[in-house]
Amino acid sequence: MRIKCRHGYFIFEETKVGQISDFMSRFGFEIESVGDHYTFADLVDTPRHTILGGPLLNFVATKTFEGEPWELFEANGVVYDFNLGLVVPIASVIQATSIQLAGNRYVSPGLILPGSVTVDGERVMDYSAWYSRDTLRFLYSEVGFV
Amino acid sequence: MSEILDATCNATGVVTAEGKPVTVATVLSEGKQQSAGLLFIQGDKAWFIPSSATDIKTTIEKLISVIEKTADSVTQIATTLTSIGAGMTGPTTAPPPTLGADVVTLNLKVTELNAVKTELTTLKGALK
Repeated sequence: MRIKCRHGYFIFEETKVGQISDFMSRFGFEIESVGDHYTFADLVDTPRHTILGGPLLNFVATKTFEGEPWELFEANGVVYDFNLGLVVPIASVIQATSIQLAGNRYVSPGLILPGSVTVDGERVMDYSAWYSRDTLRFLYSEVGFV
Repeated sequence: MSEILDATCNATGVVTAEGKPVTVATVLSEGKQQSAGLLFIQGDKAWFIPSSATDIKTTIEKLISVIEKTADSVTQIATTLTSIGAGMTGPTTAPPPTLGADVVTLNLKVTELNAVKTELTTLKGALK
């Protein structure tokens, strides 16, 4: 299953039937379809615009902006914290993460929380990942930082 | 893509949408009077376009009023000339007895036309 984290917004893509339901039951996440993709249930109602001072899900928007959900997240400087189930400012994430180079990919224990900080002090903004339910591993590529 | 929202703009040009002021909005109008309209948001840009229907309606109403008053004035002139002509049947040079009242009426029409002109000038300065 492919996982795209774009500026803290998540997109899940099945490559085989049942991968998302398996992922949900294994990790306890709620994932739903919205439009042409799957995402966390908490993000399904992400608006297409924000007004400064108005809502961006649970967060008070810091910018008036129109765009795709991930563009709204970037404009407002927020990411989805799947541990808390909340949209939070990226700068408020204090979790550390370990990303190791493995061949032409990166590995990390578990799903990387956007906004988490590497040992090099870099804050993760977005990435593409591949989750294998056979090996229970997350392989990462295209890891981007703030 | 863009988003279109209902919005208002007050006389100082502050646009409000979804209960929040939209300080980045560019007002595409004179913006000198309270108005309702639409807010277009695209990326980090926003534009407010007011509904100008009430401005247009008021302008047309006043133009109709001008035409009516002008027609009344011309009719009054014709009436006055008819009265003068009716008196031109002998050696008298005396004006018709209605001339004074007719001139007063004509001057009243001029005053009314000037009043409408003032109203249109005010409307021009308060266009939404």
